[in-house]
Amino acid sequence: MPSDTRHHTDLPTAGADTGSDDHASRETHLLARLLSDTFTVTDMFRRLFLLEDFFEHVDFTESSGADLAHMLRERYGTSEDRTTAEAIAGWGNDSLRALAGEPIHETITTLKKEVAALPQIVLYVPLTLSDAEITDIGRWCRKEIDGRILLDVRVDPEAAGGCLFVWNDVLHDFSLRYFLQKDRTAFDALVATYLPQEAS
Amino acid sequence: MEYINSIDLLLWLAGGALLALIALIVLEFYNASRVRKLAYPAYEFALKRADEEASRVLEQARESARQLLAKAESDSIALASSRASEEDASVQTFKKDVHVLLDTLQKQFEEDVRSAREARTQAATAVAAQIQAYGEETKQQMDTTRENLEKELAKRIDEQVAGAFATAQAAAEKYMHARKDAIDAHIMEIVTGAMKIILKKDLPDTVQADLVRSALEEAKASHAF
Repeated sequence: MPSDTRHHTDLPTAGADTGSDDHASRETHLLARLLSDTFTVTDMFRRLFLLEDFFEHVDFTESSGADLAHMLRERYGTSEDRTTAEAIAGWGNDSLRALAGEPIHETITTLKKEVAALPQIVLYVPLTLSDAEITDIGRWCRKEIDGRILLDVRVDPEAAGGCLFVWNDVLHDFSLRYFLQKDRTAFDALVATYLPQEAS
Repeated sequence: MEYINSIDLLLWLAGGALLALIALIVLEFYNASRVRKLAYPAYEFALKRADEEASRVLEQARESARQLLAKAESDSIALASSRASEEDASVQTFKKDVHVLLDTLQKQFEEDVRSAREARTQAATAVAAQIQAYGEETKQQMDTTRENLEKELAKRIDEQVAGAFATAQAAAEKYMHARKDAIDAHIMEIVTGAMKIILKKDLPDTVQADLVRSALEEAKASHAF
């Protein structure tokens, strides 16, 4: 699978003379910016929701020239979206101002459709992974499977010792069961040592 | 007028004719009675003469008949007596011939009976001999067939028993393998379940995350993607 590591993270500058083609280009750039540090479906839609909510507020308060990163941290700093807001604030004011001044709702609606069309892998893991671990797995999947892949991470104790995943509507079991089956001969030999010998 | 005159003429003529006719009829009756008066005595005389003649002829005929009857009677009596004697002789001859015939038939019948008995005895003897010979042959064939059937039956029984035994043995081996596989699978499940509990309980989260990564790499190596 080819790995696409080229992400256009620089959003067009706000105030430039943008036509309909540039509007599509901004959406493409925004999607690339999101994909650069978002690896799960849940995080992706959380960020899209937060972006829409934040920039509707910016548009309503006509504060597109303010310190948007600071506003973002202040607005969502004490809520459950704090982590998401911090991640978006890390883009910098330049990137955030590029989104201000334009109708954000249409942009987000279009992006949601594009995100739904991205390749996804449903990954069953035995426990809740940390963000760093998810990021590590996400980067590996982007490199080895598909450059725009998103993870749908779910917890399933049956995946102990490895994982299960659904790819292209096919469930693959690479949990402990798979590895025991893979080394079945050694396993049978081990079990046989504890079974009574058959009478000849 | 002339038409009426002609009709009157015709009427006068018809009346005249009618009167003439009536007159003729009356005249006829008168003549007939006169003739009858004259002819009646002659008729009686002729009738009497005829009657006498008829009686004479009749008497002659009777006499002839009597003569004929007497002659016939005498002839028949003579014939009857001669016939009776002839009949007696015939009866005697007939009886004699019948006795001879009966004797001949009796002898012939006895001879035929004797011959028939002899022939029947000979035939019965021959049939009995044939039956006995046939029976001997049939008995031998039946014995041979019985022996063959017994051998064939024993062979089939042996084959069926061997086949059933082989089938039972194969089924038993198949069952053993199936049970072994089921037991192995059950053992695998038990061990897997135990190891899952151990992994979840004793392994650090970072190690489990590494196992997830390793599993994905194994999937990549197995061409799951």
